Amino acid sequence: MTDDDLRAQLRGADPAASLAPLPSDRRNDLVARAMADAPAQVGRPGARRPGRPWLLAAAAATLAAAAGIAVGLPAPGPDIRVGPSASPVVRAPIVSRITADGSGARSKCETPSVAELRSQDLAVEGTVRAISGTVATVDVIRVWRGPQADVVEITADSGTSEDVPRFEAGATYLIASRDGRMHECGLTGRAGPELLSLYDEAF
Amino acid sequence: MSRDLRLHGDARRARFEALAPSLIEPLRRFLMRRTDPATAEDALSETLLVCWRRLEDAPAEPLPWAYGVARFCLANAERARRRQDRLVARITAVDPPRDHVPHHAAPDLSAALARLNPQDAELLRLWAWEDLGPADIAQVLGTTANAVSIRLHRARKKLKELLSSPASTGHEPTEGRKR
Repeated sequence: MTDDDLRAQLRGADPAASLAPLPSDRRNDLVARAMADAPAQVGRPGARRPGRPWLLAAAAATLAAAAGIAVGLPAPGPDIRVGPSASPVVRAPIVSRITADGSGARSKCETPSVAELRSQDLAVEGTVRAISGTVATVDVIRVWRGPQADVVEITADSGTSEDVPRFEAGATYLIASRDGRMHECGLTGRAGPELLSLYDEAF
Repeated sequence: MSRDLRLHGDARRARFEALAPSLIEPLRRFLMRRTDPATAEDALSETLLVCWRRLEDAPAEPLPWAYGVARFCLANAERARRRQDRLVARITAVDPPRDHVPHHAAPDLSAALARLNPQDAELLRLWAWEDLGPADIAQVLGTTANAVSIRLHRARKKLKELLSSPASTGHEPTEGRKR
């Protein structure tokens, strides 16, 4: 198969192939709203729109799909559609659980390496949502290896909460584990450029 | 002798009004390829907002830069959505892997993409769907054209291998690079 064949095949499966363009008034509206927004924190969508009825919009899309209505224009409300098979994604979160050994693993540490990282079965980037007792709950932003989890829960094994001190709520970390045990010798840590490039290189 | 090259007030608005409309459809398609319609809509608004705020960063050819902004906003929007969706019940991570894409005409291709490492899948999407060359992809991802060329070549090879052995499709956790 040539690269061109591959690209043609991928294009044949483009989910946005049948996406109808927005009408110009809707487009202008989007542009105007971007300029009108009062400065709020970037990265907190929804913070300025309390009660945004996205669930209603998604439900409406489902109803339209169920009725077999070919979604077209014009229509009130959100205009982004993908076709009759659009359905909202609302499902239970996927949680991965690992433990932090904390019992002297540090004394056997070697320099973090790509090979060591590749031997892990879980490698993710995430932000610590909460720390409660011996459990740190991490919202997953990115997965390099392992299941597409939403959340990773890290439990300190030795029973003291001192073993999860390195995790701070709100901070972002790269976390690696194998067989459910978190790697603590330099492969797990704050998401800085060096560690990030190690993960990128490994996977 | 220095000049303040930043635009202010009406001139800035005029620049955004000239630039933004032609970004909207490509950004919509980019987002709709990667997530559900509701999240895509949120992310689109956020993307335009960030483009407005960081207008001074926009290059003369702004689309790859705007895709980069969209990636960032998409990650945020997905995080927010997951927080809203989250139930208290604890469920162990099991298959199937999450498929962001609402509809695929070719399920084998969809399955093969899902089996690739997420970075490789994203490279292939940017190459095939956004139709970007390595230099532009590098701009979107914040890396070098050289790194992109190498990874893209490997990713294409992997996808071809997966597509030519359909018996291997099935539910498995996404794997990293195999030797």
